[in-house]
Parts: sequence; structure tokens; C-alpha cells
Amino acid sequence: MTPNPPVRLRIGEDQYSGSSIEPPSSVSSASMLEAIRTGRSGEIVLVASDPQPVHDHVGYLHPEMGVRTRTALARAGRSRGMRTPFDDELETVRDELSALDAKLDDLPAPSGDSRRQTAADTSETVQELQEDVAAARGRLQVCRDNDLETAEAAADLETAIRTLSEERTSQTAAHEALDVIEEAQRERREILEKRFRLEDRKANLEREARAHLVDSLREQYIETFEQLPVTPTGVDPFAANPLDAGIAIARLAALQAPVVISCDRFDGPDHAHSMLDAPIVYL
Amino acid sequence: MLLVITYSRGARESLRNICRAHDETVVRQFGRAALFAATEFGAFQALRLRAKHGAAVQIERTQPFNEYATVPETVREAATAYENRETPAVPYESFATGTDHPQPSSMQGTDLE
Repeated sequence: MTPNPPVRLRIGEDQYSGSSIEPPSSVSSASMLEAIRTGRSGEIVLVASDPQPVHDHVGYLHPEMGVRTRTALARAGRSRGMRTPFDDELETVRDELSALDAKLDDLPAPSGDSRRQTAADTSETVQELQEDVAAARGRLQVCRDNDLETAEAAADLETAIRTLSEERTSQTAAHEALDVIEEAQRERREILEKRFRLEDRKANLEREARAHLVDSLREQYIETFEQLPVTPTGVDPFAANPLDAGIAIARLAALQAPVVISCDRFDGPDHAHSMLDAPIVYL
Repeated sequence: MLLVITYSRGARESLRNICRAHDETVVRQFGRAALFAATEFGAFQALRLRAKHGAAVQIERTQPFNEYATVPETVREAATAYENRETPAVPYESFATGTDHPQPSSMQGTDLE
């Protein structure tokens, strides 16, 4: 839960604490955001709640921001503990995915590369040695045909045949090793296949859950615009100026970690805090 | 041809991008799988995909299928005879029983040459 006070900030020798604080203008928004995320940034030390997923969208309110309104709204819903009819199945699917990941980790690391290379190399060598044997046979035959000494040529042929035979043994072993790898790959792919289908199922469920949350919050989102110092939206609240949308969604969300504000919509940090009901870092 | 099969959302997305960008190399596309031309460029694209997504990409090489070279006559004949059968609702196993046609179990247990 939110610590008390919600934000404590130390910059070098200076300390700030409360629900809404206003650091010196020398502090950059980037370092503030890093401090909110990790607790430190350079000289800055910050103690507050950890940011929630909705902070990705509304954690930094400034004029140049973009916002994926539907995703942000859905996450705002989640920050309030809202649930959807898809949550039980989502949890099951996520558990099954973890179990499959564990199974994958237990498998030996995929290592087809070196074995395929060895198999290819031995096959190439066998071919070369077959040519050597043919050449040696040829030379022996030439000796015979010309009534020459055959002992050396015969010995060469014997050596070539023996070398070829040894390499053929290596080739067989290489191909057997490859078979083992291919069997392991088949096993891995069976698991990957199940995982793939579950990932698709998860994506669909998350999409449905998002739509459900957006639907549930649609009315409130529109009403929120009227309560806040933002430009009225006109017809489509989902085509609103990103800063206006961000402010409304921040208001709707149950924010525990601080929001960084760097815009002129509010009179000051306290005004922002009372409008958004969230800890404020006012830059 | 090279048969490329993906086993993750990321790999499938990458495959789609390749198919979109290299129409001339993609013989056929089936969503999460595709047939690439067996050219160096086709191999390059397949290997790129595997370098990026690892085990989530399977690459096989296809060959033209000559049933006369590869499949025993009994199996070829069984296929034709079964498709020309007079009673439509008969499963192959029953159809083959009491004839010279091979049983499914024996065919399943025998690899092609």
C-alpha cells in the first residue's frame, strides 16, 4: 500500500516530502521518472510506491505525450481492482504457459548446429575418399596393364580403402547423432506448439478483457472530462488530445506511485493532487 | 522448396514480414508456415528467421513426390481402389479386411524408402 508520506525525495542535501512535491527546476523529467521507477537517479533518491502498469501511459503528463487511450483506460481499470469475465481463464492460461516454459527449460539446449555440420563434413569427406579409392584403383590397373610393379600401388589402394571405411563409420555415427538431435527437436516442438496456441489464446483473452474494461469505464471517462481542467472532447472521447486523455485517465486510475506533471493545466502541485487524487511530482 | 514453420507469435510475425517483402521468393504462404524457393536467397531468409527466433523456427526441405519411385504398388492400388469403392460409408480398415489391400496398421509401421 501507499507509504506515508506518499513521496519522499532527497536531492543531495535537500529533502522534499508529502503528497505533492515541487523539486527545483534543475531536475529533469527523465531523472525524475527513473527515480520513480528504480528509486535512484544520479543524486536523486526517491521513496514511494512502485509504479503500476497504468503509469506507462499516464505517469508523465506533458504536452507532447502520446497515449493509447483504450489500453491506458483498461489498465486504469485494473489499477482499481476491476475484473472481467475472462480473468479466470486468463489465469489458467498464464499458469499453463509457465508450466510449459519450465518444461522447455528442462530440455537439453538445442544444439543441432554442430551435429549437422559434422554430418555434412563427414559426407563430404566420404565423397572425396571415394574418389581417392577410384583413383588408386585406376593407378593399380595402369601398373598391371603396363607390366609394372604393383606392390606399392596395391598398398596405396588398401590404405585408401581402409581410410574410406573409417570415414564411413564416422559418417554413420554422425548421422545417428543427428537422429538423436532431431528427436529432441521434435519433442521441443511439441511443447512449442502447445505454447504457441496458448499464447494466441492469451492474446485473445487479453483483448477481450481490455474491451470489457473500456466498456465498463466509458461513461465515467466521458464524465471525468467535465470535472477536470481539460478541453471538452466533442464527440469521440477516444480521439481526445493525448494530454487531456492522460489527465482524465490518471484521475480515473487508483494511482499509488507519483505522477510527474510538466504542463500548465494545473495551478500548482496541490491543485494537481486534488484533481488527480494521486501523489504528484510537479516540474 | 524450403518449408518454414513458425512456433511463436514473434516468429510468425517475422515470417509475415518476410513474405510481404520478398514475394518473388515465397512460393506459398499459410499464415504461420510458408514455402520458400530453394534458392540461396530463400535459404538466407529462412536462416535469418532461425537466427532471430531459434527453436521456434523449423526448416525442412521438400522434394517432388514420385509415387512410382517411392511408394509400393500395393499402397498405390489400395488408394485408387478405395476411392473407387461402391459403398461410400465404409472406413478403409473394413474395406481392406479380407482383401490383399494393406491394413492401416501395417502401412503406419512401414517408412517410405
